[in-house]
Amino acid sequence: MTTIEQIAAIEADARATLAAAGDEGALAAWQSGVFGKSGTLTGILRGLGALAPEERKAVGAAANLAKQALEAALAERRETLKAASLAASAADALDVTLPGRPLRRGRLHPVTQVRREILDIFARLGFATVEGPEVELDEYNFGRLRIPEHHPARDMWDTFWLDEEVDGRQPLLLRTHTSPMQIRHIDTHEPPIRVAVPGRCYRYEATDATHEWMLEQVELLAIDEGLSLANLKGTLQEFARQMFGPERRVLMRNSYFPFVEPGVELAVDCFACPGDNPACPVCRGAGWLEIMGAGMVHPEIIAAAGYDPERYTGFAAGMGVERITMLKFGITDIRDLHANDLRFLSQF
Amino acid sequence: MLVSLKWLRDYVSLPADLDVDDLAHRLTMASAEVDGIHRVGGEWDRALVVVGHVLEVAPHPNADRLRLATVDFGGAAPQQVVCGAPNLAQGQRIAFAREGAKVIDGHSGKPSVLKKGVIRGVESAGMVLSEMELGLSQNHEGIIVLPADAPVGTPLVDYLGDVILDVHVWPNRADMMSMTGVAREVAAIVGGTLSMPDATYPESGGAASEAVSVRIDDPALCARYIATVIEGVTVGPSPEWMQARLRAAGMRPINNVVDVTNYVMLELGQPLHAFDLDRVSGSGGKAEVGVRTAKPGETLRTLDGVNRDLTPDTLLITDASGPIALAGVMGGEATEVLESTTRILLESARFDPVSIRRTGTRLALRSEASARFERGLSPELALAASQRATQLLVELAGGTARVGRVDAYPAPYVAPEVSITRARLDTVIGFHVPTSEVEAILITLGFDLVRSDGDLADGGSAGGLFVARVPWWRTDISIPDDLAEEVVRLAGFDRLPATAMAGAIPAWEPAPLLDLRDRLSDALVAAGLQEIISYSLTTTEVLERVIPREDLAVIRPLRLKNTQSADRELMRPTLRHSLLETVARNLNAGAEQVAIFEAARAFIPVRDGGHVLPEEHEQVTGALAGFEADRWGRPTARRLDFFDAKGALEAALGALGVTTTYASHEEYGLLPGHVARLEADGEAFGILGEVHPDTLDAFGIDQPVLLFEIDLTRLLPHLPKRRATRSLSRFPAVTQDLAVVVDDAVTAGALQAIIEQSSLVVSASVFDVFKGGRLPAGKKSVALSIRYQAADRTLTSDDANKEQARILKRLEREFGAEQRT
Repeated sequence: MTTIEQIAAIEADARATLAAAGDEGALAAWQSGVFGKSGTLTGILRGLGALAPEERKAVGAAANLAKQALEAALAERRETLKAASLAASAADALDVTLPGRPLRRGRLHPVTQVRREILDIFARLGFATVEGPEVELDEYNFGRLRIPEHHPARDMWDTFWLDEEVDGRQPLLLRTHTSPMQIRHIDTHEPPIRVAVPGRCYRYEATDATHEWMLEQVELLAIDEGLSLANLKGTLQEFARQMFGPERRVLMRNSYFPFVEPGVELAVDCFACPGDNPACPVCRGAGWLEIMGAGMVHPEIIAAAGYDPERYTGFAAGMGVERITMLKFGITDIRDLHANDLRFLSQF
Repeated sequence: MLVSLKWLRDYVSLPADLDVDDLAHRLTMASAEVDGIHRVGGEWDRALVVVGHVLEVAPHPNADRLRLATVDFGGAAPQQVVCGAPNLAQGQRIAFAREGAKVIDGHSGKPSVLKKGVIRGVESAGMVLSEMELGLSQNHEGIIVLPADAPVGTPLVDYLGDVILDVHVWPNRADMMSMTGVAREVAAIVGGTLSMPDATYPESGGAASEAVSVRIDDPALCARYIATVIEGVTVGPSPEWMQARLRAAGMRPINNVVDVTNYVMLELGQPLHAFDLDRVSGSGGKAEVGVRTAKPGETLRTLDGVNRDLTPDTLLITDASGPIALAGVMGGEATEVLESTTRILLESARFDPVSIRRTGTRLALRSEASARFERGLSPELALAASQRATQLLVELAGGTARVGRVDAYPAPYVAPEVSITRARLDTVIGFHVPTSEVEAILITLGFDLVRSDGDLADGGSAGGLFVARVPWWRTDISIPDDLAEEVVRLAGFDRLPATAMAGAIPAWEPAPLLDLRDRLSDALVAAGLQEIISYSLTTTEVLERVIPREDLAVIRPLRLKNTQSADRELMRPTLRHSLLETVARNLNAGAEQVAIFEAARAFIPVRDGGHVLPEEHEQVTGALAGFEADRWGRPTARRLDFFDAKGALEAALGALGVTTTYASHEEYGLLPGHVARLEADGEAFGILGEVHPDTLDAFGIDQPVLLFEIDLTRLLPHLPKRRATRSLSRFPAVTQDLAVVVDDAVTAGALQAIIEQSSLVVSASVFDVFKGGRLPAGKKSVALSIRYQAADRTLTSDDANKEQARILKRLEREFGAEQRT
């Protein structure tokens, strides 16, 4: 058999094996059997040098032709196999409605989510977040907030007292509001002041669908030259709009807290109805949602901290985080928030 | 405070077609919150429930207890009805319901429709009504008897109907704890002419001062004491109109004397007390009333029949023999007005609010009276109330008033003047209310304008000033900003613009602990844990499950002095029990897997000198339990274990950049040998471990639970200020595996640490731990995958082999390790 004939035989044989190669592994094996170090065609090419020059030319041309033809055949076979594989895979379609492989999912408690949202909004308005103790002194929770012992306003905050003797008195209590931090903060900071104080508070009261003995509040305190009730309204309107929607309006009405003067209650218009739906699950037809007590910081409190109340005015506000959480998520029973049932919490 | 609108109209003129909802809204906006509106008679049909006239009463032919009443109700013909009320009498004006009217069933208490019926053989087509049948009270004893001038046929709602507002009066508004006080507010807010009750009465006989003397020991505790004397009274029921008003205000009628004192308290806001003058001792026929605090050992039997021990701060009313009343709180039994009483000593006084509140609280005797004294009444009110009550006693109890009164008033009241500058007014409310309006508001509220220069500022110049004399009833007004509140609440809060703050934003202060809490919470959420919020209070019994009794005795958690529930006793010094309680609850509810955490404070009392407040440790505590889920989210047979929890912590702490080491540890309530102490830079900041089966038992949990706890204050110093980063090498890495046999006690972490000290090693990670088989007892094989890489050249496998040989030598030297072949 001449070398030329050998080439033809190699090519024919290679084409036959190629046609039988059914996957990428077989193709690779075939490729190495033909073109590899000790491949059939490689052997011919390697033997070229031993041939006479004129024969070498002819054999070389034939070998190269065969090489090109087999390379083309390989590429074609590869395409065919790929097309067949795609067709097979398309025929074996996924049921895309099957569930994904589950990842364990964690969530923040809804009250934390809302507290953070509140604090984020006020941070954008320049209020830094500070925190204070949950176990407080009578002096800060009441006394310096102008609610001395035996003041009738103490009835507004039913209090858990602690059985701890200090200098013959029992001055420790669980704070009933975050307002004591107003005092602690102005004792240590100079105006201008803008802070938001989140934290747990405690009330000695019976529990029902809207009352809990443990609750979270966010307190606001701003003290600067020239602050007014209109600034309080503006700040809280901005809060209401970011929290409940850009159309919200704020309603202010008269109220009383011993540590502010004037004292007000703030409400936002209902975000779930135009205010005329007696069946509205959010406002029950009232059209307004009470969300916080507020007012202008009493000048005696500013003076007691060592600042001139003629020069500095300020406002304070306090809101219940659970209340806002319930409004936002349509929760009707506050007790669900502390039951810690994962089936409930996984909704948020 | 329950406000009857019908009664209120005695003091302020209001339009007949008053919009009650609008009134309630405006009161709420400007003054005091109206908590509720109760429409008395709102459900009475105008045509079917009317005023009737009993023309005739005849015996029932078949029943002794029943009678037949012929009632004219303004219709074409009178109607005959069967009636069982013992107080029915001919000629009475009564409340009459015709067939078809909706009434309350007197027996069942439920609403029903009145039907024509036959009672003991006699047809009855209507009903003479009791209070209960009208829904006015629970009283079904007899029928309501209306005044004789009640117009027959008038819809009953027009005659007896009313609207009751439940007004929530703020603690600073003593004046609004009265009908006249509310009337003043209503007049100021919605308009209407005020008319205060007339309080003149005839006087006769001797002077009051001949019958009684008053001595005040401490004017700070009693600023004024007025006594009047009414003689020849007949104690009996008060008239129906007065009883109706007392009932409308939520009080129970007693007798004419007591009812007058209560009526005047409701009308004017001044609590009063009536003594039986004949039982108040003195000398020379003159009763000697004193006001003083109790002496040691004194006691008083109050009119509820209780003997009271008196503390030295208790303010008393005394006579020559000793205490006769707890001032402002409760009278004494010995001087109580009885049916036989004929001479009344009427007290109208101003007592110190703190003293009243202290005594009322101590004896648990808070009342309508103490609610008013506690708010701080004006001493001026005492005179008005004394006059009005004396007048009513003369009128309704048939007595005569002695001439004048005894008025002990050591330091007569001078109305204070309060001023506010125009600039302050505008600054505080942030809105310019014109001077004429400011003046009108103050005047309508009863202030006298002493000076009003507000216009100066209106013209643009500074220095405007309002000076107002405070009306005596407004005990809550003392500083300039009090006037600002009066102006803004009447001008209307809706007129205030919503203005952004103009000043500079204060310098930002970092809050690293808060940031850490939020970031760690976020990282744990990302690791698949659910945040919970549990109660800060718990019990000794629960704490003893997670803290040894002897440690608890040292910590002595903060204990509540007052609690409304046995499960709230102590402020928790740990969160561990809360997490385990939550795990138990969710497992019991059928949860297949529980992975939770809480970020909250643990309270540790500090009782050494100088410290008052406890330490409040910011903690993040978590728990995992249950089964791993399969591809379908169903539980597999594999329970979550220590390394699931560790994986979550590694992910979370890794996200914060904290390099954490886990050291073997022991901890109460956790299973020995299954606990790690979390450390950074050699300092402990938390623990992780499997809960001890005994502890699980105590919580009613029947499967393994992993618990971790991180103290944020201890973790904080180990947060990297800046993350250490390095550039990636451009040269390829070589990975080689190494398995060594070591003693069981040698930790994988220790091997890893040694290997990673090599400068050519980028990382070493454990991929297999094996015990048993052909390995000798007490030995284990640890396989690690080691990645070699140089920053400046391509490493050959030869380089890696050489380095690995060096590493192995070191492992042999330090741990006696042998390469496993």
